[in-house]
Amino acid sequence: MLTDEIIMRKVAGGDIKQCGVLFERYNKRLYNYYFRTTYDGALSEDLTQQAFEKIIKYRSSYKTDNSFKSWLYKIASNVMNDHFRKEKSHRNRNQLYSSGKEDTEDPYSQIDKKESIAQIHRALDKLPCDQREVIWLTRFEQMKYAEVAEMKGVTESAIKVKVHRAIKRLKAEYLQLEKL
Amino acid sequence: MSPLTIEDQIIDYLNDEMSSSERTEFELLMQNDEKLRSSVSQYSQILKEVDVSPQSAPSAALQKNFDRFINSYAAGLNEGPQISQSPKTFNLMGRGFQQAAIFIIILGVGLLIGLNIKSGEIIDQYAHQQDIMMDLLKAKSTSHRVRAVNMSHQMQDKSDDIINVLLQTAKEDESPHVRLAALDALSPYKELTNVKRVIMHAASQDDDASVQIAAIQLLKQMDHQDAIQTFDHIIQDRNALNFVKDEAYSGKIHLVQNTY
Repeated sequence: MLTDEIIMRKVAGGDIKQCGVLFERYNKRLYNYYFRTTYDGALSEDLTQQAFEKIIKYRSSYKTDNSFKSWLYKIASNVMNDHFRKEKSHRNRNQLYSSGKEDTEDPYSQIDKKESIAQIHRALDKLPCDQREVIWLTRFEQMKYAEVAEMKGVTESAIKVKVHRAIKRLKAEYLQLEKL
Repeated sequence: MSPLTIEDQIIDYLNDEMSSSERTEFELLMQNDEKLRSSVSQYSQILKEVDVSPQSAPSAALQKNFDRFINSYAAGLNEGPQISQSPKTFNLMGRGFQQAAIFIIILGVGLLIGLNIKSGEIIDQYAHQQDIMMDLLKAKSTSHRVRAVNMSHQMQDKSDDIINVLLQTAKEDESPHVRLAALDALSPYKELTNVKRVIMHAASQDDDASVQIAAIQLLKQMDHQDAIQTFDHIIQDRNALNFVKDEAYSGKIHLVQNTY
């Protein structure tokens, strides 16, 4: 199986159709990256589409010795930031979502056997977007702090602090829910 | 950087961010400290649950939209000056071959003209149907408007214009019969983002129960997790009729069960 980097080199060289392979490998992951951060299915699909469009448009800027995954997530992160900048409602959206969540019946409450997974979802929901994002990148995508730092344009230690804060807050929210 | 708290050390330990000497020292600490062991176990359990948390799937529309984009982009790249055959090569062909080639070109041009006339007829027919449909939709009579919506069923590969008109009708027509017919006409396109939004709007906001029920059933078929919020909204809506709430509740259970 060809590596992502080899395929991306082909795309950069003009074989655009090869991007279909990368789409197949990453569309669900990217969708979940957006979905876990925004909790908006339609918006997550739009952002995923935009991210892949940007990969094709900016294919020649891909540096062949860089990890494709880091490059992809850097683009994906920029797409999300651009979106929220345009909307000028990142914070409002967050507040709106979390307040809406509290008012609605919990979808996971119907399934007792999956209670612990439901609880982790509820705890994750209570985290701010940027903390959910670093948890997604370091746990689900298993990206190193250095990779996330490069993607975000910050230092590795700044990412480490952010990840630690996110995990501590997650634990606090999880235990708080357990008390209810 | 400030000195590491015990919680930071636990996270480093679980994230495999410690050197081997730090690790050994930390494990020794754990052996003698029950409270620390319990904290490590708590963090470990939470992180494991995060790791096995199920992923959501995007709708089929995402793949379709990407395919459409990549095909048009690739086609745009391939459009360039045509490379003509050099005169030298042409001269090498025999006289008989040249005549055969001319015959094939004439035949090809004839066929193309024929096809163009045929496709022109189809386009004209489609445009004519579209005009009639648009006129009928403006009619005062409800039955005329229902007829207009039903005309769209005969149109294969509906244009964006037709889909937009159907979306507007599903949302704004004064008659629930017409809105219901429009939802039905849109059902093959339910995976498109704008169609999905109108279906969600109809499920939660339409003032006619039959339209709400039809929209809820479409959402159930789509298995979209973001529909859960719509269902929640209906369940909690004081003005919603009980049987609509029941339908929304059944939709929610269906989607939640499909998640796991």
